[in-house]
Amino acid sequence: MTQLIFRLVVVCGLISSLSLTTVLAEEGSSNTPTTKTSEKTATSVRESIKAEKDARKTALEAFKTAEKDQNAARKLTAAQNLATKLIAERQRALAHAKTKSAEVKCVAAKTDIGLAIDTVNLNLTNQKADVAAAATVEAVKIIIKDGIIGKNHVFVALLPAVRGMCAADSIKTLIDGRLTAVVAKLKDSGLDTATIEKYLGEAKKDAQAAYDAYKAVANSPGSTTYKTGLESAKTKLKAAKASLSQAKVEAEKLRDQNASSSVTPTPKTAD
Amino acid sequence: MRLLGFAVDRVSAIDQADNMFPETTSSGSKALSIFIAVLVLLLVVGGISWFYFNSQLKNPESVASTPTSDQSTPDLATATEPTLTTAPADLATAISQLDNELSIISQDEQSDDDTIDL
Repeated sequence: MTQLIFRLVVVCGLISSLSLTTVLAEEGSSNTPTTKTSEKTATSVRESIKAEKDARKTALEAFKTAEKDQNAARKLTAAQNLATKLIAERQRALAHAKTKSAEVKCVAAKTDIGLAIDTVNLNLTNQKADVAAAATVEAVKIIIKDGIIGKNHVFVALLPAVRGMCAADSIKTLIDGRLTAVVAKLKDSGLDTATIEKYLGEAKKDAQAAYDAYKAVANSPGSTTYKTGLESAKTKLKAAKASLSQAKVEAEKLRDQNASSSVTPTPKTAD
Repeated sequence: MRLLGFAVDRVSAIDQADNMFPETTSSGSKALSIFIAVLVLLLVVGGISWFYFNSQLKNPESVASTPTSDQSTPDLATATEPTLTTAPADLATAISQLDNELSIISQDEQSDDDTIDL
């Protein structure tokens, strides 16, 4: 009897220890998303439309198989299906980009971004109707190459341009807001702010130039010069970054200067 | 497993002791009582912990909030009051975000998603 009780208690003890260990492990694993959230880095919109991308790849394979077929109707259906998937993939990406631009801090760029996205979205909707009305496989192929892909360049032109607009806009917002407030405080303290103001001014000017260049691409992603436009915009954005880095060094200098000047000698107490 | 081995050894030892002195209450029974008490305590602690941590997991405030954007760093526009001390940090955050954005823009530009071989 003693043995039975003893064995029962041992088993219960082990179970409770195991359950405690399991619960603590669950607690630990439930904390992991917090860490991952904080470490989560920005990602491309392209990565969030995997299902649509897979559907487009499957439709392309089906179209290539159907092309070997002698049945013209089946070929046309496969081509139309591929075009539809290409449009769906792009419209999904645009919807995602629009939502993201509304969520992140590119406040001023939101309207411009929305307009550029809506224009391309309208193109795609019209192209969907063209695909449905197409009578031959060749006609569908032309719509795909020159219209759905060529006129919109959603992935290689519009999305990078929209992203660049947002990045440039956030620099301007930072400079005009928080950093201008800091400079005003520095001036009030009697510190020389000429250098930091110069760097911030350059950063803002370059950010504005980058914004304009990205906006031009976003408004005309089908242009033959979109690559040059993106390259020039990126150069300006990098220049803005360089000026921000110099402004940071200057801000650190001023902070240290301010800290040392604000240290006052301790007054001697009277005996 | 070591604990289980130890427990089995203890059972065997007590079993032998019981057989040797069937009618007596030895010091082994005192040790047994302490051992049982410890295990019962462990059981109670385990149970309480189970309920406590489960309720913590179900509490929405303890769960990580769903990110509403794909930006990893805090929004500077809504951060704390700007000061000379926060300025270098603000700039460092902006530079880091910009680096990240430039990297993604380059990846997007080189994407083959707008290329199709018909």
